[in-house]
Amino acid sequence: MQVELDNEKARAGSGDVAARLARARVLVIGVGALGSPAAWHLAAAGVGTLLLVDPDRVELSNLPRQLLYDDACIGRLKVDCAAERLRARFSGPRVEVSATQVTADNAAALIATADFTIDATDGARVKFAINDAAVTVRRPFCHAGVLGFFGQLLTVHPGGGACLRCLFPVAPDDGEVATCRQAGVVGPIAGIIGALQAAEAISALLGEPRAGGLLTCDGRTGRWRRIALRRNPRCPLCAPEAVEDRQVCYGS
Amino acid sequence: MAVQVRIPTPLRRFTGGAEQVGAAGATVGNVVDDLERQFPGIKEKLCKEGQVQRFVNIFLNGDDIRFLSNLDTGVKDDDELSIVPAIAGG
Repeated sequence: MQVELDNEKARAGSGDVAARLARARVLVIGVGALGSPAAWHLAAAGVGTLLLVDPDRVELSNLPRQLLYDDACIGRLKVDCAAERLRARFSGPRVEVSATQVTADNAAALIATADFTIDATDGARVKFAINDAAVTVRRPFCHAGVLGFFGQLLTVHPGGGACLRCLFPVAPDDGEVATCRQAGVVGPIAGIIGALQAAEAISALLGEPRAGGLLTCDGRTGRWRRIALRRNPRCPLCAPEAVEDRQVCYGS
Repeated sequence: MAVQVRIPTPLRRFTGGAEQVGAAGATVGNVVDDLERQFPGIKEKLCKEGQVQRFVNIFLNGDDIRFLSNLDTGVKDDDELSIVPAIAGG
């Protein structure tokens, strides 16, 4: 009964909205601090199929911010625990899992199967691999990053606004940009940004994409900013003349 | 020229926690030098070998300086510089 009531609430609005979401397939890469709230909200909203991808196992240090997990999950694969939680809570979505590491070699094939991809990963190199793959296979995705009290989010639509390479043409090495594993994150900030990623996905799936640009959240000051971004005419990935060189850029 | 510079969270350890600071200079590069004078150590997080670090973006009044003249981009009084770093945590 509880689950049925929740699904009714989740499907509030027109039947067309519910039907659109029920037909959708969303890929969530990373089921950690960002991916936990993102996957939860997508399931609650009635997205038809979720594919969860994450190679990691749950650790004790994850628990304060990766809200899908509890003590009983420690040592188990995140995707398995996450899927169990979501299936127990929501009868609607089909939850598929893959305990694999996304890389430049496999990202495109994964992303091409989804209507929308959420980059909820922890690491620079994988984020750029996701960006490169999504732009190449022309699928929309939402990039986000969080650190400490700060978070930022960028949704990229095919042929739309700036991609991550427009901002950062050369991907930083993993050691140049700190991860949450290294530097930590305030759980609620990740919760907010992950939930926003789900909102971005839902907007896109309903054909109502957000205004665009880089959205930043400073949890200490409470200040939100939207920085309008233009596509970089010299972007090594999405500029028209970059097409022939795209493989050189991809994942590097 | 006196401009306002928005400091991203990862760099506030150089500015004593300040999220916005004033700096002077005729170009973005000059402003970065003035930031270094005020907050030693911050410049190497922003620039390397005369170029903006690859994991940092600098916006002048909302325009990416790479669309303008990079560090040679001129600034005027009350302009706003925003430093936007790559954030990779998740």
